[in-house]
Amino acid sequence: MARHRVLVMVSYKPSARDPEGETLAGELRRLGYTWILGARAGKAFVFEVEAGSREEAARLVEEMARETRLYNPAVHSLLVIPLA
Amino acid sequence: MPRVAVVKFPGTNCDEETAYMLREVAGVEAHVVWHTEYSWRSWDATVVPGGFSYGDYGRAGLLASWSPAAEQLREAAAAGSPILGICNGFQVLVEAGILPGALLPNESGRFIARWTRVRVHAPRGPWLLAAEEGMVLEMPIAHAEGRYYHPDPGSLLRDRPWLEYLENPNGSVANIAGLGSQDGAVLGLMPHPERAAHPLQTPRGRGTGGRVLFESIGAALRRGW
Repeated sequence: MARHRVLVMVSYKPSARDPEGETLAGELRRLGYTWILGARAGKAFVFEVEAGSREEAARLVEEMARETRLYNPAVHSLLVIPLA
Repeated sequence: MPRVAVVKFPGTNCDEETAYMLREVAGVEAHVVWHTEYSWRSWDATVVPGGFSYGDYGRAGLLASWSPAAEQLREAAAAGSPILGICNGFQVLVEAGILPGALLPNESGRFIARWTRVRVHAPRGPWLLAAEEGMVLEMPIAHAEGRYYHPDPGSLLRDRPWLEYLENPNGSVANIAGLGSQDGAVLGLMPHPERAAHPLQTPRGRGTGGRVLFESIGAALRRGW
């Protein structure tokens, strides 16, 4: 067993309006970053996890996020990225 | 009569009472100016008032620091024109790089609205002209991101006016409630002077600590500083 780090990002599904992301993208385009087509804002967490492998760490965190409703599947999408 | 701009961003909500106190206490002409219309050369001084510019998206003050008004404010600061940033206005000045450091979420993780006492250190410049060293001012705070941070507060505070919380409400380093540029022409603070500038605003036992800032700018713009 080893220590792993897993990044979790909770953001809105494309079907839900996201004023923060929309405003950020609009303002950045106005500043000249016209190659930005859109942005989604959300909340990011880095979990420190004890697990046998990166893949297991990511799976454990994703299960936890589902069970605890760390995200609300009605409106949120979940991104889980094992870091190390 | 001196003319002072109160810059309004989308989400600014303390503009009218700030302009009111500039008129009533400072005795100057004050106008609320939409951020895209603001040009510093048209004004004798500028106040960036409190509120939630751009809904605090990203970080408090971040998106306002992308507004053309931020470039105007940087030019005004470089030219020595007086600028006061209150609460969200302080956050805007910090995000725009006009004042150093950062304002982080409160240590408690909560929005805090309460009266505070702050001590004035090294008063100078137009906003603290009428203040005296060691004077204690009572003003309310209302913020979620007011924990001032700077990696080296010791050298930061050596040569500039600043305000010290007597009871640190948010975990600010060195109890910093506000600080100025070295000559004091620019001042940023988390407490709200415009909410403590008239006896009708203060609960029993609290003082009108914000009044001295408005009296200072009025006197400074009329007689120099």
